[in-house]
Amino acid sequence: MHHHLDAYAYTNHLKQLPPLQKLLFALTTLLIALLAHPLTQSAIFVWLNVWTIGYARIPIKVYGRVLGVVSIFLLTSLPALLLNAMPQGGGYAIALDEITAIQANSLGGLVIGNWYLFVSYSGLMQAMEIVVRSLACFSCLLFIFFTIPFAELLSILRQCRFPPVLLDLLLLMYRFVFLFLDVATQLQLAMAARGGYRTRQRWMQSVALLAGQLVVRSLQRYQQFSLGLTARGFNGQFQVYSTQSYNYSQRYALESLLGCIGLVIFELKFW
Amino acid sequence: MIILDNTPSLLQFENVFYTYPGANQPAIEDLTLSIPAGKRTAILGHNGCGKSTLLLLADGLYRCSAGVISWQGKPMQYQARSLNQWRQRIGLAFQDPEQQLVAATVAEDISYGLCNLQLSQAEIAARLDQTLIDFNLQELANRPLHYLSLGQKRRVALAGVMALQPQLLLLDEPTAYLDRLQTRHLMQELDRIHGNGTTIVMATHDLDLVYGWADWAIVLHQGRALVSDQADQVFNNVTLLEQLELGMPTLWEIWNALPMAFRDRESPPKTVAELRSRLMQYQHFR
Repeated sequence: MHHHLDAYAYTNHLKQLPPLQKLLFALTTLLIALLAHPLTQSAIFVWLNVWTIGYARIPIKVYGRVLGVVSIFLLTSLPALLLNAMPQGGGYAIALDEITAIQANSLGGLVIGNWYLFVSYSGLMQAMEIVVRSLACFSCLLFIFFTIPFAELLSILRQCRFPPVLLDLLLLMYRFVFLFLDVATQLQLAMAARGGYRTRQRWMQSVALLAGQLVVRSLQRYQQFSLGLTARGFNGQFQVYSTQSYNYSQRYALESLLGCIGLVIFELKFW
Repeated sequence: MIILDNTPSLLQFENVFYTYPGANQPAIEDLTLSIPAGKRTAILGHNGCGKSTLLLLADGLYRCSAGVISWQGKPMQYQARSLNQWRQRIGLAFQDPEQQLVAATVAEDISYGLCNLQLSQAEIAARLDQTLIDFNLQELANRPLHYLSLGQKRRVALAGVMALQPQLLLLDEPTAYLDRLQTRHLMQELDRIHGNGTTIVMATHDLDLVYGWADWAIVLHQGRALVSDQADQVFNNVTLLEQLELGMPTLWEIWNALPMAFRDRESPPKTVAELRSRLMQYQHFR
């Protein structure tokens, strides 16, 4: 799946736009999303989806699936915000005004043993704020993920004078992700071909073997890769030359600029 | 038996030994050989006979436990600076191209070695453009490496080495896993590189591949060079090749299966086209 997703960054319809322009746009909207109120955040979510799905032509199914996977993490944190528990009976003493406040705040609940479990209005509001803010931020980050190739992202960071060691590490990790995935796929296929996933027990054993072998083989790959680097004159710094050329688009620049100004005005005027 | 030609040699191994850490047997044992300048040399031998180790030693990636490796008579120094200079003269293409592709895209990967030479940006750009043209990689220039086929990866790996303009190119099993068409393209590429004056050394166990291509051949067995001679001489050494079970090139076998009268006083053909042409000349086959 990673191969697949990575491909969109190299083939999307905004590929020819300068990556710096796309990155600045996404970071600006991200900043507004972090500071603004839910209505503005909702507008950012919708607008960024128009950019990613509409302009960059990322298939809605793919986009939805990625957003869905990311949202799982968000959803797992919601019960802690939504659900409240209050001791009831069993010798616990609670002030009357506190009970009145809880009753006013409760949207519904049930009694489990000595505890009253309820969904609070304030918790719901807080959860909604977090969901809207998170979705707005996700849409900004997914715009970066789907429209800016990793190599170009590194190139921008290099221009911004990020520490070279950090960039070298990022690049090597990026290369290793694919080498690692290749090794994992090869091993998994080899195991499946020999009935490695036939029963639940064999499945567990095969997965454990896969994990162990992945470490060993990745180390071997690393050693080979180090030889390759040395053979090509690695001198402690990972320098490359980029030939990518871009087309500046006034239309997209104008929309992003006016849109961001509009969002700020909306935020300041209505909240 | 080591037979050395009078041709000036680029690279010499003199009584070289190398043992892998933890191994009981040396992978390279008392190896003495010479790589003649300007020729296409084939290093022949079974898997595990030390071909890859020899190439890694030649590029200074492994340090020999004993013996001397020298370039035009000057022994290899294992200091970082002289090793960098050494590797500028000798380019090594690994058997697995993944091993030496290090950047994110094709153009960036080819530029990697050039950037390490600390050339000017203009020089890097010029050499990069020329390399992309030479290896017909212009359309793939900005493609991520993990989207390339094995044949394309091999071409990019070779381009990355050749961008540095080495005098000697070492190839470790360059056609492994390639199909017939990709192999033909690679061999054409190698002919072009050799035509531009680069000495090429190819380690392989595929006798069909190097028969007709190689000018010089070295047979390696258990880390030792058994013979180092003109390729014709080596391929005519049937006893040795059969003793080592390396087999004979298919063309050579077809030629030898023909009636004696037909092949009288003629050396075996080097290509299929040559064999066909000779067969056509022969009255009996018309």
